[in-house]
Amino acid sequence: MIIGLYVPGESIVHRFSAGPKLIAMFCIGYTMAVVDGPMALATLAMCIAFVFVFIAGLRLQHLWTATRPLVIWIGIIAVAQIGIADAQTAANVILRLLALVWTASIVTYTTRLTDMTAVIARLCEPLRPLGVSPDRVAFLIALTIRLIPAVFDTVRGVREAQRARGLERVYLAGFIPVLTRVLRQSDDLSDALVARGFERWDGS
Amino acid sequence: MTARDTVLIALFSALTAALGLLPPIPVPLVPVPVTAQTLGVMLAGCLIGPKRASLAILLLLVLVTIGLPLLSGGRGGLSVFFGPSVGYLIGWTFGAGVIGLIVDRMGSTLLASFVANCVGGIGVVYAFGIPAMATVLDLPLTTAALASAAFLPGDLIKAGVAATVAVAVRRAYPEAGR
Repeated sequence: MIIGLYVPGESIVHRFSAGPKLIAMFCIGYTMAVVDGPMALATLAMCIAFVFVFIAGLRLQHLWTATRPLVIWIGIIAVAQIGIADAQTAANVILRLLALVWTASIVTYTTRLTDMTAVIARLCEPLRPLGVSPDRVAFLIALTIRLIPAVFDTVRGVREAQRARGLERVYLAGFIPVLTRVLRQSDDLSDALVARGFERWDGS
Repeated sequence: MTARDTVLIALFSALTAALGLLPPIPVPLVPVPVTAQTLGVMLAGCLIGPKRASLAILLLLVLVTIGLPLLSGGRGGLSVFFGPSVGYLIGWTFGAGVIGLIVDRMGSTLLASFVANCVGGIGVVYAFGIPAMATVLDLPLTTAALASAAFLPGDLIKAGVAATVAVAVRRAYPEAGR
């Protein structure tokens, strides 16, 4: 039911492993924070868009998906910045935002969920002395991904039950049975984990 | 961490994600669409204690980072952490914890839950969100605060809804907080 943002492909960007891709993203991001001036930033943004479409092999449709949440912000920046400062500052802020968001989107669109999870688990490795186990973190990620459709099914079930009784649009009344139901299911789930030795598993 | 802690953290993370999938609710007199997602942050804080609530929201952010479109409006991936809303997302993690702390201290009455939701779910979240927005958009703090004020009526309604729901859920299922 939930599908990750990953877009399958064979490009050179896809074949790079997740760690170096993330490091490259932070380096490019840092460069963009330092670079100033609309011409320089516009060139950078064009380069990122070029990589996005021609080197990573993603479609224009994906570029639009990445840009769409920013449209309203671009409007706000244009109005506010031109009011406070000038058009040049507005252009700087908008171009920098676009370039940063496109760079991060390239990484998200070309990296598998499992590879990203592995990076997260590896990043948790230094936290082991604090009681954080990388394998448990990976388990939590997997468990949550599984639980989202389960919670959504419960929401749908409660909604249908209320509709059958003639309740149509009651947001507040719907939340209470949903929560008590999922909390009860969570008791069964934790019993199942305990029965399978979860609490004795040290996560290694 | 016990099995129960693990399951509750995953559950409230999933619940907050599922609430983000619901379509925004239009509210009369409120200029911006009210999404149900922050209800998940407030409910986690009210129901499962400060530690588990913060971890549940942190886990949701991890899921978003690895590339799942779980934020309201189908947003997700690394790019949200470069956008203007980054501060609000980070604020959720701390806000859920503060709500849990206040409810632990003041008891889980309707008034205490509402106050907790306002302080943690609005105060703390805005305290992170507004400066981050001002930085990303290169705006003065006051302008960023003014832009956030559009969300205040919706957030106050949600604080009330979450408090009411949390109190009712505790009555129906007293073991929730344990």
